[in-house]
Amino acid sequence: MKKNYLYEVFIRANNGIAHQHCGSLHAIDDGTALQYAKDVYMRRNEGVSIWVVKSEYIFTLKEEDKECMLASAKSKIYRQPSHFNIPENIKGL
Amino acid sequence: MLNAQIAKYILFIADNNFIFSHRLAEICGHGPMLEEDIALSNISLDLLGQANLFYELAGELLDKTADDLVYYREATEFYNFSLLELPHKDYSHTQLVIFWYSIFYSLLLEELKKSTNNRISEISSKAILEVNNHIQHSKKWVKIFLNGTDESKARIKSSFASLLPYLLNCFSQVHIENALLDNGIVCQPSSLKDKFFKKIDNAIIAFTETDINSYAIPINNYAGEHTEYLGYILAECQSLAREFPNSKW
Repeated sequence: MKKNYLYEVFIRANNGIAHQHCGSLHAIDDGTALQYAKDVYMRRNEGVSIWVVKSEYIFTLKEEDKECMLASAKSKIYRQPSHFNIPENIKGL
Repeated sequence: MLNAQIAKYILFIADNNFIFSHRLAEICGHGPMLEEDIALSNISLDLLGQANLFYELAGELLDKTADDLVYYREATEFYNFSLLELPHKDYSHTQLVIFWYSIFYSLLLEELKKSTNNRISEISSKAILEVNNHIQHSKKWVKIFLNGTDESKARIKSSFASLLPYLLNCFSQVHIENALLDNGIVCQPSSLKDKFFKKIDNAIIAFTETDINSYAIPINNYAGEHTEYLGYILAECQSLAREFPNSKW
């Protein structure tokens, strides 16, 4: 009996912007997962590109590591570029 | 009258799509898993959209609306294949009929894309893209059944056996006016039989012991003959419109 894997789905709405995570689904292989992602998440023309990745391949921080990783960043104001004077005519910075 | 004959052929295509779309819609909410449920509903909606286009075209030729044609015709005036009106026994039945009908329909659309009638060729060119998707989906499932467990193999074999007579019926010669065929307006369905079986994997034909020259159910769908199931489908589909005629959303 084939195993049902959990996949994460990412969709890019337009060329030039980033893929966004939009949900997850179960499927027995990559081809099926892509087909399902199209069926479920692209019904109303939501995007031009889909990525599906097996959830087990997404490597992320464990709960214990999160706290110390994020805490040390809070009190380090010298890591922000807040002391520069940006001339008025420059947009988007 | 040439228009009436062309309209009848277009109704044949539209009725196939409409009736099969209904059968697939019945599965909504009862699919084996969420993604399959949505996929089947998508297929059903695709076919309904195509039926709508063809009904409107037929309506222009007969001076009727698509609603008139769908809600106020009797079962003997429908021309769809009996294969598509059968109730679905299990998922192997469902995917098998999608598989067979999509292949048949895509071959038909390939021919109709070349029709000398512009409206027919236009609609056919758009429709064929969706139908190719349906083939991919159902082909995958037929293979999953064939390569799966003992139970899945038994079920798909049984579906093949019980449905083959209805499939072969789709390829029986129907009476179409010579004027339509000679002028390249429409295509005789029986002419697609060889191409159809070439498109189906030889492995599938061998495994299921399909004999393409075996018994075909002798129902003349193109003359309005049907199984009793069509009556129940239409009773459900048409009851609301007939109870409240001229009502609008």
